[in-house]
Amino acid sequence: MLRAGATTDEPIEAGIRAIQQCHRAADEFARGAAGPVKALYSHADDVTLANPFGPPVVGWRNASAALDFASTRFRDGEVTGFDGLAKHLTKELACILEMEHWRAKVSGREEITPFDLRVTTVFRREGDAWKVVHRHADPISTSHPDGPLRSS
Amino acid sequence: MREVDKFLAAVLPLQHEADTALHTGDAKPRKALWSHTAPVTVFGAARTVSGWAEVEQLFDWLASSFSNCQSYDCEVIAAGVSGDLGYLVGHERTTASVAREQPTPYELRVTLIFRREGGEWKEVHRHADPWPETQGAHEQLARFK
Repeated sequence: MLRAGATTDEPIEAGIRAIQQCHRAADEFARGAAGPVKALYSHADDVTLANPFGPPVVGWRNASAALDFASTRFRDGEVTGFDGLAKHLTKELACILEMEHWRAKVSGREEITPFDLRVTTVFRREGDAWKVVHRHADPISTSHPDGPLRSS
Repeated sequence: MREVDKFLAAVLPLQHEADTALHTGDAKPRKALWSHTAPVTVFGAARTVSGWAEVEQLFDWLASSFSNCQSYDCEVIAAGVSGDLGYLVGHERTTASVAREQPTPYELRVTLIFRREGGEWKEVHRHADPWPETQGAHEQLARFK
């Protein structure tokens, strides 16, 4: 709902802010912090997460647990860049397609490993905020205890 | 009927027809289901492509590799729609031959995005990777030339 005097650019600006917040949160995730990513997620029953660590999970409780698990697999890392490949936007839904460039110590390894993720993110407007309702991320392989480094 | 149910009722039969045909060697229904207007992208199990020229080439290559589709199913895990944009998260189970080998079942997790153009839902993005802890998709991918 728009406040009196609000312009129609506000949802777009809020959307851009949400993407930027997502990028910052991913960077913190590479250092083992799940809090910022979880703060951006919707708490609805229909949210989904399909990450490199396991099958897709549905619902906030399961997504929260999956994010907690995945964050324990990353230390001392950073996301050095995001390549935006496409965006699809409506008033209530936004689909953002990106490549994420990561460097981190994965699953207890001592050395930093670079890897790239193909990421599809869906945001939904909930009140004044855009919340993540779906994230599908893969390094082009299946799940494995090592997550994105399963082939090494 | 809720909007999301109308969306699924419209796209799932088209998706079923397109993928059954693709896995039988015919790319035409899938090409007809897709938008030809940028941006169109595929984060596919086999390749990553962007723009209609690359997407069309990918579908032709996939169709030339697949044959003998015995079954295709997409189980919807989640979906949403707003105006002319919709998405679904699904579990695809397919049995088909790659490179004329024995038909092999394989499973993918998929995110599909559709945009309504001229009153019809057209696919604009497909993100697919092997369903975790299954081997079928890896076997199939190894057979592609």
